[in-house]
Amino acid sequence: MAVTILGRLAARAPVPVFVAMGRDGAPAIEHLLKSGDIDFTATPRHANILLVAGRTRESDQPYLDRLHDQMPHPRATFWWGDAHSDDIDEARRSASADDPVAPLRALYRKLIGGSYASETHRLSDEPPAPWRGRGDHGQGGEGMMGGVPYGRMMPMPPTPDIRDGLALDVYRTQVGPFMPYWPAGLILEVTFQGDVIQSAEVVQPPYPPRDIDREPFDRLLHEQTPLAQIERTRATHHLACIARVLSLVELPTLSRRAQIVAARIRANETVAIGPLRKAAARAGLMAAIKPGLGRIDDDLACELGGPVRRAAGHVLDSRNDDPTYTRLGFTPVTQKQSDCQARVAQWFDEAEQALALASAAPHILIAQGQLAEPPWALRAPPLDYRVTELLPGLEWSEALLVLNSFDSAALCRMAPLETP
Amino acid sequence: MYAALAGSGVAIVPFSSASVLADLEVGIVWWGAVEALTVVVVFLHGWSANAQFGLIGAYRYVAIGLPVMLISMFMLIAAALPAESLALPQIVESQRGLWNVIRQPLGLPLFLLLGLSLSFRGPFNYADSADIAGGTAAEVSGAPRLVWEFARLAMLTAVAAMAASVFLGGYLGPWLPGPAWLVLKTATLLLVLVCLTEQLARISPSRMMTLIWTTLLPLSFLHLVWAGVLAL
Amino acid sequence: MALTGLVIIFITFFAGALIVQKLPTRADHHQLAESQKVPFLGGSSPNTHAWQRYHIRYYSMTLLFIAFEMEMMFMYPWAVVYVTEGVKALAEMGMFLAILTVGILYGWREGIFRWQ
Repeated sequence: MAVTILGRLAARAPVPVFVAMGRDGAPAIEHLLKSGDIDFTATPRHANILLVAGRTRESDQPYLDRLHDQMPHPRATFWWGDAHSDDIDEARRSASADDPVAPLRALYRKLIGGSYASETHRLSDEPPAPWRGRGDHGQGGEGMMGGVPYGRMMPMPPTPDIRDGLALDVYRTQVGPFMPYWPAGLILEVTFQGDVIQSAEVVQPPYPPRDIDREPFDRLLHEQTPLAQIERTRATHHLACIARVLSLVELPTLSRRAQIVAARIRANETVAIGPLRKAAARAGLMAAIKPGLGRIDDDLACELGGPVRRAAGHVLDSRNDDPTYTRLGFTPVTQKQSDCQARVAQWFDEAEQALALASAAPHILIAQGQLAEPPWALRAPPLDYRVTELLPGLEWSEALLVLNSFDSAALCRMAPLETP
Repeated sequence: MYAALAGSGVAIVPFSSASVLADLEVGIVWWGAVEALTVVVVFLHGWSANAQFGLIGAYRYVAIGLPVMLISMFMLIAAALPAESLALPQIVESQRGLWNVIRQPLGLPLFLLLGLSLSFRGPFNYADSADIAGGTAAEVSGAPRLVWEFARLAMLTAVAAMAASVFLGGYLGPWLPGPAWLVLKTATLLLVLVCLTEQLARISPSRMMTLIWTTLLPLSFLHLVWAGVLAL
Repeated sequence: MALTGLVIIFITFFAGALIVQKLPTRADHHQLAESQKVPFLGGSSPNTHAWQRYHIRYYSMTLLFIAFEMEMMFMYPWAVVYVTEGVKALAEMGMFLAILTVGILYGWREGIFRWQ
């Protein structure tokens, strides 16, 4: 009796969902936060439903399976997006145009109620290395450090530290590709000493900007597109980036608010960014990011282009040459410092400007084939710079701030596979 | 593994009604022990999972937890000076004329920092933060996580109750009975703590450590001297 | 008397927390798969144990902390006799704190409050 009441209460709580962003056809997940019915969790261990948004790379499948297995029982997977095959039953998928909140809630209720069987593990139930029965005590190891105690090796032997030269263990591991506030799809091989990054290497580059953000810019290539739509998409893209940074400085409520504002702008509602920006400033967002953190040199900023370049103080924006924009009195906004602070401020400035443009010219169309500045870094390779060069010596939380102060296109360009 | 964390939520509870539960002569010392053990328990919680993110959270927490503990103890000892006792009831009684929050104005705000730090919330969330995917709690789910989150909230409440007793005169107050005043004051402080959690951004751990040692700790020295001169 | 009360409260919470954690596992009939035990790294799997000779970046700060923690021990009795002892007690503790403050300044100059 008591258990059923508890079960019913649990089924009414916000659905804990761990999101794995896909590369192709990824829908706008911030939309889910609007109703307050869905909770995005920081780790799969706090979730019951794995939400696969869009389709991931083939090579990411094992990583996805591992996340799935890490979820506690009862657990289920939900696919949101168009690219999925039809053999998945109706209860566990949703087209990208549909609103998956109701199906997610229904699935969660069934899971909690027990009418939907919890999914079994997808990876094999084997330890990473056979260890049972080996060694002196059957622990799989030999002596102090040798062998594979309980299936894993001990951490790497000591190497001198890059700062104070103390020789202590380094911890080398792959991180990614699916974490909240981690560039989706990026897999880095990171060497830690303590919580400071000694070195990093790209294993898999991140995914390019989401289809949903790219759509109006791609459409402009072959048909007329309203200026307002282009500018609104720019604002949503920037807000999604800002939300990640907000969450990294422990302002989860503001981060959620930024995502909800983004979702409402996408739904063509009239919202102002000013209050959000003021709240973030009051909370000390800029003070929380160390000045000079993640500063990049001018050459790199110029190579990357887009908001990154404007955050370095270069007035370069293809909207400047567009007669439609010039008529609206458009002048690009810039920052000077070219560090994390400047890039975040640049996002805020551009998002506010974009909304102002959209409301100033609600019906103007841009002719097809015109070059409209996309909201991300757009210049073409080649690049000699690597994002991995920015990270060594940074403490983990600072490293994440640096990574998340770039848009995904810039990161893609800065994270090519290392050539062997 | 999780057994120890329960202790963190527990040990402080006797203070929630200063005149009734445990009338310890060395209440302040006991509280100091609770603070110290909390640091140990949170560290163990992060360490026990054998996962890098938990470890980062655990070690980082110790770096901030230790100096904040110093500050809070200075605040409490300053409050003990006019009472000439380390027992909480005497400290409350010593505020019959004037509450400590007015007599020693720096005490309450600096002590509230401890509340944020002990339950690692908002600007002091170095243990269970988003950048390390939930930190020390990243590897727990289900009932153990429930107990952990409960312990965090219990700790926050304990700090608020403690602060209400030491700085806001505890059960003292006109018209209402004593316990009602204590609950009221504790609830108010909880509200303040929750607002601080939501309203402040977190800076990187090394900058926070510098800030604590070079600004907040000297401030608490000044506070102690101020309280000492007043108490004479 | 007070101590007995404290111990009882302590044990009650401790046992309560243990029971809340252990009860559901008895009803849970799912086997813990090996792949479920892997720590979370965004989908990646670690090759090694995370238990390591960890580089504590603030180790020099902890030495300074010990000095202050010892001082705290002297302060407990000091606080009780403070008013009866009067200015003498204030002066003594003032000197003690002043010496320790020099320690902070020295440590600051040496940069021990940064992540080494």
